[in-house]
Order: sequence, then structure tokens, then C-alpha cells
Amino acid sequence: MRRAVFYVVLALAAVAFLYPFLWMAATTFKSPAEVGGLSLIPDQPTLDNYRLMWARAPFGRALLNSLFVATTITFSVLVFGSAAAYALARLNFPGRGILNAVTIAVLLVPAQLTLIPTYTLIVQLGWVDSYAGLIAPFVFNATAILILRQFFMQVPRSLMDSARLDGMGELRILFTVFWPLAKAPLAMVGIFTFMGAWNEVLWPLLVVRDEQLMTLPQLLTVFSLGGGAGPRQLATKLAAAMVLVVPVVAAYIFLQRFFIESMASTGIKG
Amino acid sequence: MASVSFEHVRKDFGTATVVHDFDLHVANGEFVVLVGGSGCGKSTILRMLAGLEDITSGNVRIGEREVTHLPPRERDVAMVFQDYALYPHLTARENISLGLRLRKIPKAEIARRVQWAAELLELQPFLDRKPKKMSGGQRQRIAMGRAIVREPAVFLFDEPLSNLDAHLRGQMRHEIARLQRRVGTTTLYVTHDQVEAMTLADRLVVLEGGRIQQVGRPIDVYKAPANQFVAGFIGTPPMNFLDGQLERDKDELVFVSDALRFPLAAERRPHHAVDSNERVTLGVRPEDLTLTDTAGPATILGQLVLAEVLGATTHLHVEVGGRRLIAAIPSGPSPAAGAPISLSIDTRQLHFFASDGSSLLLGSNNS
Amino acid sequence: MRAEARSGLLLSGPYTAFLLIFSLFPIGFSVVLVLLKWDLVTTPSFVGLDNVQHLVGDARFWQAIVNTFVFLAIHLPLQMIVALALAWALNRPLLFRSFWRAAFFLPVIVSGAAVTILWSALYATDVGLINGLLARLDLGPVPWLTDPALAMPAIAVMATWKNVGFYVVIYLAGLQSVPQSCHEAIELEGATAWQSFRYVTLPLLKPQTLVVVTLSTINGFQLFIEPYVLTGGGPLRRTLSVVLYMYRNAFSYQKMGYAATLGLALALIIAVVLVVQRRVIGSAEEA
Repeated sequence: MRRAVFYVVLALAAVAFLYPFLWMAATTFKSPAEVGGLSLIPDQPTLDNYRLMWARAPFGRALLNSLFVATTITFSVLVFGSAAAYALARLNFPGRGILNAVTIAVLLVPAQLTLIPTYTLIVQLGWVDSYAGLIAPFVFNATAILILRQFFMQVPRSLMDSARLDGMGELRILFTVFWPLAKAPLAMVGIFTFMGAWNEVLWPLLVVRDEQLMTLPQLLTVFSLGGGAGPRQLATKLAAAMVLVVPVVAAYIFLQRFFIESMASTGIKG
Repeated sequence: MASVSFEHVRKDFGTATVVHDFDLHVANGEFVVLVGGSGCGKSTILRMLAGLEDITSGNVRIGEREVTHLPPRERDVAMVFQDYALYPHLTARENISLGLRLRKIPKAEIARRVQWAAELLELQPFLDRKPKKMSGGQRQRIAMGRAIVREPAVFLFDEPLSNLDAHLRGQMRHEIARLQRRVGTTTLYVTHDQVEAMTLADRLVVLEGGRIQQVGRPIDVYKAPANQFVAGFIGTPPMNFLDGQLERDKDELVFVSDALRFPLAAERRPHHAVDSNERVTLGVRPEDLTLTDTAGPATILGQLVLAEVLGATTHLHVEVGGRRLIAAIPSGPSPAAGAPISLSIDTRQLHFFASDGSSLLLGSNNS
Repeated sequence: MRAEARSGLLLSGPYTAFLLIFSLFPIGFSVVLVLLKWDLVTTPSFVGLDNVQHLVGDARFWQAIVNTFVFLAIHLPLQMIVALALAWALNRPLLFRSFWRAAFFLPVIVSGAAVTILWSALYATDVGLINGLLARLDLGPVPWLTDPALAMPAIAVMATWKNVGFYVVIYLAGLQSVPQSCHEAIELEGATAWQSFRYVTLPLLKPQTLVVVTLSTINGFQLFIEPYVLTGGGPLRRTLSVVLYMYRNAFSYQKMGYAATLGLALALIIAVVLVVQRRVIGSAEEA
């Protein structure tokens, strides 16, 4: 009996987290008269909200922008970041200790401190309204480097030595020996980097004014701020939000374990 | 202090029965050891007494109270766990006194009891340390201190010495025995180590497959094991077993196997009328085998594989017709490996087991 | 090992350059900016400590700080209690554990912008879901985002909803690291379930609690998209956050010097708050 009550309460909690998303999805298919209602199935389903949203702002373009930016950042963090992590973990070079210390110290500095100076830098470089401006400050990620460095330090030295004896250069060693072993941390780092880049909204709001270059969350924000709060506006705004939410939720449903482990590990580090 | 009774206690996990119809009465102040291999159900029985496992059927009493359905906190038992279960964030003193503080016992009384436990177990030097700064033996004693300050009706020990090294184990065994004699609380102790069982117990309960194999004083279980399992489990090195059969030869009962043929001693023979050619397993303890030069009927010939010199005693591992026997003899000039060996069997100290394992000597005047 | 040193420098070179340009330079330059008045177009002018003086007397800034503390006062306890309760529930023998966990974690991975838009729909006075549910119970529509006293608490609840799944995972890991035998031991000692929780579980969860409080606090000071989209910082500036104010100064008013001053002040305040919190909660090494 007590177990039944327990499950009911748990289910209610889960509903509190899931129902708003379902309601949001349902509302995007409703006509103005039905918007605001509690039902999850519209009586007169319509795609008007989506058509309106798509016509009024370049969401397709924004989706591509987000994909491009997030993918580039993730690629850079994984490839160039692991090169740096490899060097820090396994190679002896002057300044290694300092580089390690600075990497850890940098994590303690809140982003707010560097936000404005970095913005002025981007402006001075002429990178406003450009992909470079969106991507450059995120090309490396200290947390990712620390995680990868930690992992690389645990790879047995003997693997490296025998590869060297076989005549492999360091880059070869990194990508043919270390990378296959590092699938788990690489996946983790990849996920939280991609998600972070995909969801980033403050930086694009500073650096990009051209609608054609806006990322998806940015365009969504701008779109929803320009307009009143009447019924059709609400459904259209939610339709725009769906474009942002659905791909992520779809990926999450299949990969939730990876998502959870990935994000949780950064919490403990950070 | 109280007695403990198990009546027809049974434990099922799903469809598997782990403890079958367990009956035991422990008298007030008695030290009873449950001993057996892993999976025999001993820890489960202990935990059922503590209330940490549900009882599928049957009842348990502590003193006059029936506790079968009571939660652990109301049973008035204290337990020493295999991993000590000390609270990592508290000092030793706080670990010991937490239970008393929870029961709102006055501070002065708590201090008195902690002091008493500290003296009894020599805890003073590290009372204010945290568990991670203590050795295994110290943690063990803190766990015991925590149990005794509660002055419970029953002490439970769940393999408390398994995580200690051999030397420490010996030391702690004495501590536990000494403690129990001093404090006098009814104690149930679970172990797989038969040395601990033999040295600590007032009475032993040997378990296997969730069933009691034998209950009795250590010396009685040693001398008169009820079945082959108990005979082989209790005693180090373990008893040697030889399969064979009993035959009637005129008035005598003769044991026959591929290596042996000898008449049974009059004082030591199965108590019931034996069918001729009844299959039987002979049991002889290593200390009842002696090196001999003369050949006789109760003499085994074999080849020495290994001689382990332990000090005053030497264990000879002898290969006889494909089987390995162990003899325990006083140390002295011993033969070289590979040499032929003659072992003489003391026929007054033999054990016989039927094909179902039960002892054929019980119920007779043999002792 | 010349070759190894060369390789090491080569492989870490880009990262070093990045750190210099995008981490170390901005940190240093922020201090410089504090002393300047600059609109990014004309040449900057040196104004000494004018920005700092202005900050000290800036009512909007202090309102933003107060707003943040209001947010934290609601968000932190709510976060800890809900996360711990859900983690405790997930730690029991349970069917479909990964489903429950995934449900609670879902808002964590969804973009803050999308979640904010969603909640603008939930909180909407006339067509919102929450007021719709209340209407079913014959309760009047509540002006969640337009009432100065309710707006920040409303944002605090939303932030809890978004992030609690993350802390559930952290607390769950902590709960699972408490040895089962400790719970059994204290149960035998006569503790009720509550006492077992209070004297054994909770103290051993200190490291996790510290993480929850620290990250939630940093999160609170970093609020931007929520007030930006939901309320624009109103009503009556009661949801203005420091980061939002900083963004406006940089993007709208083009006052780089002052914006940098705000950033520096914020960083210092965060540091102080975190130190105080760590003292209060106690060292995480106790467990």
C-alpha cells in the first residue's frame, strides 16, 4: 500500500517536469481560440503557428547557424583540446607546470569578468556579425582539457613508448593510440561542449546583430521579444521554441545516459 | 540479558529457500557460534534476529518477548558488522555514544558508560580520532565499544574478524572471549572460520545449505560429528575419508577398501546391525595416523608428496591409490619426498559414515 | 629531450595562445577598462575611478544585487530540499529508475531560452497554463510576472524546475556512497528513519550540498536570459539582474568602461559569497 502511494507521488513529480513540454507541443498546434486551454489534443489542429513562425523570421537559417557554430566548436575542443591535453599529460616541455596551473586557475574566474573585455576585443578585431566572433572565444575549453588530461595520464606509459619505438610521431600516437581508448571521456566532453554551444545565448546577443547570422536560441529570444502577448503570439513563440527543443529532446531520448553522465561530471569538476 | 529462541524459522528469497526450519534455543549468557561455509545461511539467520531481514515463517523470541515482527530499533540487540559500519564523520567517542544520545540517556550516564567501555577495550588513546585515522583492529574495538555501551539483551557478531590480518585475528579473538566473559551478555557469533568457532563457542551450530548439521559443545562436535560434512569441516587439518565397505568375517566386522582390510576395534563400531557389504566411508583424523615401520592390517602404504613442518608438528601429505591423505605427526627426522610411507591407523578413533553422510556411530556407547 | 619538448610546445601552443588572448588578456584588460570611458567607436578617455564611484552610488546596481539575494533566498532552499527529496526517492528499490531520472533531468539539457519562453507561456496572466489550472479550482488569475513582489520568486521557481534534475543526480551519487551497513547500524541503535537521515546521511552529504549551493549561487548571479525575456528587468526593476544590467550598458548604452566595472564588482561579490558559504557549510573534507 505504501509503495503504491510512493509511486503515485513520484509520478506526480515526473508529470510536473514532463507535462509542460507536452502542453507546449500541443499548444503549438492550436488555433487562437483554443490557446491557453489545458487539453493536450487540439480539437482543430492547425499548422498555422508554424507557418507564421517560419515566415516571419529565418529559423531555418538560424538552425543551420547553430549547427555550424556548435559543431565547429565541438570539433575544435575535441581535436585541438585533446592535443593540448595530450601534451600536458604526457610530454615534457618547458612551461608545462605553469600551463597546468593557469588552466585550473582560469576555471575559478567567473565568466562575467571576462565578458565585456572579450567583447571589446572581438569588436576591435572586426569580428562583430561574423562566425569568427561567435566561435573564437569557445575554441578551447579548460574543463574539457582537464578531463581529457586526467584520462590521458592514466594510459599506460608502455603504450606510448612502444608506439614511439615503432616510429610514430606524437600526433599519430594521439589519434591512433589514445583516441580509441578515450571513447568515453571524448563522448562526454563532446556532449557537454555541444550542448553548451547550442544553448549559448548571451554571447550571440552581444556579438551578432544581423538576423541572418543569429543562432537559434538568439533568434528565438529576439523573435519572442518583438511582439505582444496575445493568443496567436504565444502559440507562434512556442512553435519557435519547439524548433530549438525537439532535436535536443530527440537526441536525449536515445542517449540520456550519456547526457546525464556527461553533464553531471562537469558539475563535480566545476 | 536474555535468552534467544528460534522456532521453525524459514527464509525464502523469491523461490529459493535459504534457511530451512531453523530451531535453536540460546540460554541466557551463552556464547553460541554459527559456523559454516559461504552461502550456508548463517548471516541470514543473524540478520533475521536483528530484524535486518524479514522472516518468511516461524518466530523469534528474545527473552519473553516475541520479536518476529518488530523493527530492529525495538529489539534491543547490538551488532558488530564485518565492515565495522562506523560513522565516518564522527570521532570514536561520538560513534560509541550516538546510540545513547539518540535514546536521550543523560549525559553523565553516557560519559560513565563510554569510560567503562574505553577501559574494557583499551580505547583511550584514540577516542577522539575519526575512523579513517584508525587501524583495522582499532576500528573493530570501537565497533565493539559501540555495541557494549548499549547494554543490550543480545550481542550479534557478523564475521567481525574477516577483514583483519591473521595475527590481529588471533589477538582479537581473545579480546572478544574475554569481553564476553566479563560482560556476560548472550552472544550470537557468525563465522566461516572453524578455529574461531572452536575457541569462542560455548556451543557450536554447524550449518550447511540452510540446515543445521549439528549443535553441541565444540569438543563434542569434534569428537562425535553427526555427519560427514561436520566431520570434514571441524578440525584442522581436515579429516581423511576413505570409501569402502563393511563385511562380516565370522564374528568380526571388517573394513574393506582397495588399500585396506582390517577388523574394526570392539569399542568402535557402528551401533546398528550392519548388512554385509554395506557401503561406508571411513573417517580418520590426521592426528590418529602415525608413522610406522611394521606392516599390519590397519596400515596404509603410500608415497610422501609433501612434508609441511609447522614447528612441533609436521603435516605429511601422502598419496595413496590416487587419493591424498594428511597425517599430523610430531616433528622429527622425516622422510624425503617420494619416499614410501607406512601409516598406522588408530582403530579406536575411527569414524564411520553411511552413504547419506550420517554418522554410523551415534547412539552407541562410543565416545 | 629536445624532440619531446618541441612536440609538447607545438601541441600545446594553440591552447597557450588561446589562453593568452581570450582568458588572461580579458582579465587584465577588465581592470584597465574600469578606468576608462569608451563607446567602442571614439577613442577611450581615462576617467580614473569615476566608474567605481558611480557604481557605489548606482541605485540600479544595488537593486540588482538585492534582487539576486531575493532569488537565492528562495531558489537555494527549494533546490536543496527538492533535489534531496527526489534523490532519496530514487535511491530506494524502485522500478523504472532511469525513466524517473531522465524525466527530472530533461529540463537541464533544454536551452535556457526555450525554457524561459515556455515559462512565459506558463506564467502568462490570461492564457497561461498555471492560471488555467488555478481557474479550474476557482482561484483568481495571479499576475506572476507583473506583480513586483511575485516576479523574482516566480523566476526562482522556474530556475529550480530547470536545474533540480542536475542536483538530483549529484545527490544520488552521494547517497549511494553511504555504506548500507551504516544505516543498519544506526537503525539497530534505535534511530527512527528521520534520525538516521539527520545524523548519518545528511552529514555525509556535505560535499554534495556544497556543490549544490555553490553552483546554484553562481547560477543565481549569472541570471540573464530569464529576466531579459520574461520581464525586461521589471516590474519596477525588481527582476533586474547584474548581468542584464551589464549587457544593457555594453550593448545599448555603449558604456564599456562602466560595464566592465559591473563585471568586476560582480566577480568580487560572487567570490565573497562563495567563501562565506563554504565556511558556513563546513569543510567538504569532513566526510
